[in-house]
Amino acid sequence: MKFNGVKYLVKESFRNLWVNRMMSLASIGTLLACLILIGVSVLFSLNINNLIGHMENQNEIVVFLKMDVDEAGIEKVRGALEIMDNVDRTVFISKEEGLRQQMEIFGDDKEYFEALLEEGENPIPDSFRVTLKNVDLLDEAVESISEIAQVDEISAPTQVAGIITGIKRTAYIIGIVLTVILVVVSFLVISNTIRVTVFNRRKEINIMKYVGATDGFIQFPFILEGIIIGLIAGVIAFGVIAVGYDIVMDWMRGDVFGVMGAFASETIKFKEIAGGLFAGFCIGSAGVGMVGSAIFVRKYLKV
Amino acid sequence: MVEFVSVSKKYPSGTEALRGIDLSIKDGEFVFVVGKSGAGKSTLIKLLLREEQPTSGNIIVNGYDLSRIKRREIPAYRRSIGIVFQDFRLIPNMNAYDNVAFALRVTGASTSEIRRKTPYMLSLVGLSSKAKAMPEELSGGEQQRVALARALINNPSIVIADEPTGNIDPKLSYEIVELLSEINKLGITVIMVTHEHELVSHFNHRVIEIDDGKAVANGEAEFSGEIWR
Repeated sequence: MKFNGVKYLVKESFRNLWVNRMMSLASIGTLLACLILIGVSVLFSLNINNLIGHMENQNEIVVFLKMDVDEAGIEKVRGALEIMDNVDRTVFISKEEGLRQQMEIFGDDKEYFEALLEEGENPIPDSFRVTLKNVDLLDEAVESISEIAQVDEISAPTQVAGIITGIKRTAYIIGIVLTVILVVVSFLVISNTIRVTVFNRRKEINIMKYVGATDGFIQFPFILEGIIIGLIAGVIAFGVIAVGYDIVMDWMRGDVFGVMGAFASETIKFKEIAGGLFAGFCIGSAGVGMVGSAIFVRKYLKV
Repeated sequence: MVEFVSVSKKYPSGTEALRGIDLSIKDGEFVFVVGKSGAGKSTLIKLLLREEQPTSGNIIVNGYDLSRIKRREIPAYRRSIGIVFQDFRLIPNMNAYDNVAFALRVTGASTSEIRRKTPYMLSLVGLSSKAKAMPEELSGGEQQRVALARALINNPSIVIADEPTGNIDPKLSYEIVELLSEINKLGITVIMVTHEHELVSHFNHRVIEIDDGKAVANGEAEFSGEIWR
């Protein structure tokens, strides 16, 4: 196609968008609604995952060492823990530190521990607080740690881990299913809008064929219109999501003493996902516009 | 040159629209194609436009064998013919000028060529003053003249007019056929489908009558005095 032809077709695409502005607006509106729903679903899933990740980080295993383990033994345990694949972080709690923490927990009833200290007896063993990378593999981690010779006992929140794993899986499945449903429904709705747009202009396509226009010449403006509509909807949807997310976050942070306030500190910062979301919206919606237009125009090219 | 050699067309529904038609139209001829409703005239036009393919037989137009033409060659073939429809088929959101220029644009013509040829073509059909008018602002006769200008802008060797006077005032019908006759005098072959006997009788051109899917010589006295051959 000559440059002159391309220039004309680009001009024609914008002219058609204006001439058929009601349909263009309907397409942009439909696409916009679908993108906002998808965006909300994705953000919700990401935040739930983030929150669960944070809960996992709080979920520590406490590894108590035998009472007679010396400095060298402690270092051996530290080394053994740190080379384990699933271990994220280890914090050593000495006998003294352990006792101090117990006294803090018991508060008013700490006299028993104070008496023990005066007598030079400390019943609290040295311990390591271990954070796992993947709580799903908690049982395996406990088994491996218990094989270390200096380890006496392990306190692992297997029940909590089980609940978290369950929530994580459910949230993951719901997130995926919801997003897939929304994407499919969006594609169907958008396809229908494009189909109506193309149907309304089928006579135009027919005339173009009779005067000797090639398929490419006819398809080009429709495809470009699809891309432009997609991009406009993508940019607006991104703006709406950005502003909406900000408003919801402000509202959550406002609930200082409530559950929302606690969650707010663990939510994803919008700027962390803005790039991906913007690219996803623009590429996805422009792609749908382009593919949809190309498919439905083809139907009327068989003249 | 247009040649139909034993052309038959049977639709998937079982309707046999054309049955072994043989005919030949020489370069520069003006031919009326007449026939009753359902006789097969529309199918003949569809075959000439390569909208349909014959079930059997060969159709040769401007050197193209329409039974064997490749899909990608169809646009080039259609640019070599001009087509005028009963319902004008102008693009509703384009003014008269753009509707005519459009046929030139699809060929990749330069802007200067478009600017030179389009006003000339509009003046040829007497519509220079209506270049900016939208199709809905034009009368039926004017719309048909825009369609005629569009059909002529690519210098076709053949103009096919499918009931071009069907949607316009009877008085204006003569003007349209006069215009087609003028075009024919320039050496362009004109094939006009019509069912208006008076019009056919008034102009002294060859007549082809289609009846029940066959080409027959019919009513030469009633029409032009020439017989179908």
